[in-house]
Amino acid sequence: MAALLEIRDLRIAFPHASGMAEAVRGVTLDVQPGEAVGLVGESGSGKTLTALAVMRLIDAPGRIVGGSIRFRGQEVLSLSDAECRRLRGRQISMIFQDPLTSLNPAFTVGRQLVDVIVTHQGISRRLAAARAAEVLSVVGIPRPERRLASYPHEFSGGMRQRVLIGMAVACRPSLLIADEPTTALDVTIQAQVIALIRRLRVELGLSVLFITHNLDLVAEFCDRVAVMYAGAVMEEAPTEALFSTPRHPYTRALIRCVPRLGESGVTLDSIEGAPPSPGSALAGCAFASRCPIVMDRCWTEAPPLRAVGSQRVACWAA
Amino acid sequence: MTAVPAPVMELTGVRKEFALRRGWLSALTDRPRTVLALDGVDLTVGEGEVIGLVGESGSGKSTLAYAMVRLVPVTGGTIRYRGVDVTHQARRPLRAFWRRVQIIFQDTHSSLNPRKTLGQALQDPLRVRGVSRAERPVEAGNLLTQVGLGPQFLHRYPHELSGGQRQRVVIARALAMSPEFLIADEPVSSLDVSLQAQILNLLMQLRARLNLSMLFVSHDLALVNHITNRVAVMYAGRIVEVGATPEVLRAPAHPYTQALIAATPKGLAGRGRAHEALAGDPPDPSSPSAGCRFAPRCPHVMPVCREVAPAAVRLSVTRATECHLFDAAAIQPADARPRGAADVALNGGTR
Repeated sequence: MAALLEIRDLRIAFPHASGMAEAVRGVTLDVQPGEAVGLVGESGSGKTLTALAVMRLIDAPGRIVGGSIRFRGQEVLSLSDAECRRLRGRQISMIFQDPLTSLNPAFTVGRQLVDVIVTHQGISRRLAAARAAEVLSVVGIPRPERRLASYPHEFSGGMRQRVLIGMAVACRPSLLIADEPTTALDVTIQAQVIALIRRLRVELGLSVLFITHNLDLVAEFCDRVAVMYAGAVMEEAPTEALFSTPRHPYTRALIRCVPRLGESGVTLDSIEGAPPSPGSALAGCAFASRCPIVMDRCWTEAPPLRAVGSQRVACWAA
Repeated sequence: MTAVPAPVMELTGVRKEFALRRGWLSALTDRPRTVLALDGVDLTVGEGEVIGLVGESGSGKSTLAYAMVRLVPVTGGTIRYRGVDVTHQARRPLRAFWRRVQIIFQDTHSSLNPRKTLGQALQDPLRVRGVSRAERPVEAGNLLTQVGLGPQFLHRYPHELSGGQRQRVVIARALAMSPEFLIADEPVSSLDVSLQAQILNLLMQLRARLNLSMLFVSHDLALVNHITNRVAVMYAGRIVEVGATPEVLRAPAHPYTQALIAATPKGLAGRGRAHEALAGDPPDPSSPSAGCRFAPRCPHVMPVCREVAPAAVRLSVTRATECHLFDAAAIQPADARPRGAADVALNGGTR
């Protein structure tokens, strides 16, 4: 089966005191049709940048300096602006962490939904309005016809995220990129939103690229997980394999420092030190300075992502 | 385990109403509107105890933390610290209280003055504590060492530090007063997981070394599970359940606590489980309903819940909950009782 999304050796750079600094340093990742892929990592690891690049939303001074992104076999990086607009919304949609700033406070939710539908489907506003009400009811907003006339501030945080998800799937895209969609929400509301995305996956056959720092959420929701660190994928594997037999020392450390219900103890494992600052020259493995099993070779040669069983690991020791 | 330590901080019936700002026109027509953030909170923190305060945004947990240090004045009830009523104490006598009770916040950026070096930031509390000018730099260096940074950081500015390092500085500044009681309001929520663990471990070491009592405010049950002895669950301005942390998390009594635990992601163990999400949103604190605040979302709601607010029911020496399901007075068939512990059993981690 051909992958829906193929990212190959993606590189994104920003200007820095000493020239261009790469914030994304060669990311390779696939999303298959119908699959939910988790992209996890700490802040600054490049996961959001990778997603923005798929939408061709990297703004100056940032620049995609290398690699390729193919969607249904077509190169995204060489599309014209007009072609990009056709791709966004109709083929690939994205939702963000903060649902309040994603909506325009000056217009009703109905107006904003209708705009999206008219822009992408070219139907009349009257038809689009009916479609908008349908979209709200799909995402579980009660009394959708009445709610179309409400402004964003009249919705709760969870309801706003539902509206945005509705907007994102209104034009039946095949890929939904969700960038920390529940991070700003309370845990009971997070459960509602995840249940909604889960249902839409089945009903609309959506593929999902799910970006989060919450490992437990990824383990519950995703089919496959890629772990990013300092702009590169350190490990990528089916979810069960990644969490039951993590092969990269960073993945292992990350899993161990998450406190969980049902376990308690005095000391949590932690990863000493901090990630390399962007722009610092990295000759070898980016994790070397914090790695408990670092070897001489790690300082000089960056390990490539290579297959180990069902997993792919960028580590000389794996 | 069930021995109750001597109380240090005692809150009784604490209420806090915030007045809503109104335009001049509505001021003429409407009655003044208020938001009830704390609606009669009783809570006791014992000597050397770490108590977790959990709840969702708007439940009043931060307001309660601020009220405890008198950062917001309460509108009812009493706050006693070591037997002394500090609820309405004047500023001058309060200073002694503020030396013993310190608070740290979630946002490390706004907790530190960007124009002061760390050395300067630590000066003030040391001066207040009565450390001589000559000794202050040495003492400041010691404090930074205690939190794992060291004296080489004395001349750095906050922007030169990472979020985790800044939280360490904030902790050092709180320790500068040699407090007995530390209130931590979501101290690791803005940090990445690898740094979260470092800060939590640091707090636990300091707690043991300095014999601190602590109130740990968090929305994350897993964190609370890791570091607290006792936990209080807040919903809409009230504490709906309180008890020893392992007991509450293993066999939650209140339906809201059950929902909170059910909604918390559990890693691989949570794959394929039934995902029933609690419906609805938390109530609007400016228009409280009669009866139990949780009634509109409660899967076990009974007619009485919509009319009468439940009183606290003692379940054991250390355990209490506010729920009509546990009222002897509210006679109901046995099957209306909340699901047993088995249904909401915590699955193990994914390790």
